[in-house]
Amino acid sequence: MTEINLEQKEVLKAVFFILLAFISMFLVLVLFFYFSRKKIVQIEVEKKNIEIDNQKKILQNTIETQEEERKRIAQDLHDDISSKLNIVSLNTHLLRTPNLKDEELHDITQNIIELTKKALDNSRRIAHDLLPPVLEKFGLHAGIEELVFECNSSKSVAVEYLNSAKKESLESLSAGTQLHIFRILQELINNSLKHGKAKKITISLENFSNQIKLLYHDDGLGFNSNDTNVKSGIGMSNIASRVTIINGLSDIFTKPNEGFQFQLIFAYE
Amino acid sequence: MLNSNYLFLTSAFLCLLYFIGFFKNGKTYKIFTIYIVGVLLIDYVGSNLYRWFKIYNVFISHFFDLFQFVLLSFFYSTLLNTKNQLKILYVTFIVLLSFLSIRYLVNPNLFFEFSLLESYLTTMPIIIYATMHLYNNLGKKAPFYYANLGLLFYLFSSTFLFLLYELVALLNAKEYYLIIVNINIVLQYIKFGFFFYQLKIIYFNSNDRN
Repeated sequence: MTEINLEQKEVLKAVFFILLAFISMFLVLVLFFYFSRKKIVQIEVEKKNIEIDNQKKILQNTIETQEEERKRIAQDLHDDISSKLNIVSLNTHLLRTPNLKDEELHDITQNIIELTKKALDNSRRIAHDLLPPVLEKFGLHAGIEELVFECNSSKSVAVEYLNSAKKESLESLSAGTQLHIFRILQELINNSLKHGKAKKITISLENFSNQIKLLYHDDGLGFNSNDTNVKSGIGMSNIASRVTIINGLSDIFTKPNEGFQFQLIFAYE
Repeated sequence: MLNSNYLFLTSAFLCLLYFIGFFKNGKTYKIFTIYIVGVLLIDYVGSNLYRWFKIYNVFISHFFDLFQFVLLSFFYSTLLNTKNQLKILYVTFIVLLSFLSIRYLVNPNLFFEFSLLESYLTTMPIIIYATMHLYNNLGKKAPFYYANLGLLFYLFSSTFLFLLYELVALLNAKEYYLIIVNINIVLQYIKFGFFFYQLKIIYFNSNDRN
């Protein structure tokens, strides 16, 4: 009788341990899921915060670029227009001088005519630089063509432009996107000339599985692609902001003395 | 019954593969290698003890539990990274080992009996550490991720299996013996699968090396 009791006790003990193991493992599982959920939410919050920080940076960049642009316009207006109009004003005052000879009168009016013409040209150029009318009227392709033509006519660089993208795909881009891409190209060309001392630039547009691929290549000095100073400069971060705004994907391939290559892929509607 | 010799062969092969990289890899890897080699030796000796010396292998299970607990505690002490987790690990380590040594010193005969309490107390903390390691690396690449999964899986299932085995032995339900032994062999193969995959990751994704 006692033997059976002892055996029963042992069985009970084993059952008890099985139960204990069950409960404790269940507890471990529940705690794991509980804490995991908390942690996952925390990770999500961190991700969102990073996103917000990024957006803040873009906003800051935009404001900075805007200020730079204002400064540049102010300078252009001051140097190219105000100064000329000043002299025109002086000359007009001179016209009031009594007893002017015919020759002097002729010189002064000639001067006024020339200066006004220059001021007019300059104001047209400034407006054109701010927003090329071709881009607005005839779209991205024509805009780039004009940009390339202007660069080529400066003779300091040879720019080649190849467009194999479908016409509809370019036309379907919103005016905003077209302007962003145009600005990116302007900035890239500006960099190639100013920092890269490039002699040859190639720009190409092509379709790429429901997207458009823009390839930009120069034979300039290039730079170390790990150099954060270059990447965080206003020009490059301006490009990065524009790429983010049009939901594009961009890549830079460059090495010192091996030229610079920029690739941008973006979707069309 | 599935042939356990193949299991030993697989295990030996695994140990050999891990041992090849023993000196090139870090502390965690070394401890893990010692653990799997130790488990192989204890298992092999345990299963042949009766054949060799006509001794029953009851006390081997204590060696196994204690060895596993000590080695895996060291293993997880290199993997866990928050202060609180490490504190829990060290305190558990000291308290549990002192408790068990006092228990066997007071009553040495216990060493020659199966002890459910001991196997429960020595595996449960390891399961908790393994879960902590999983938790620490949610959404990240974890070092020894697959080895950890293998360990967690095997410890989880084998604890139940061991307790069930005890129950079956007590009830003398012989028809269940074989099933349990076979299930254990299958579980071990699955565990080794995880360990092999871990080794592959260590060797082919060198940035995960530890």
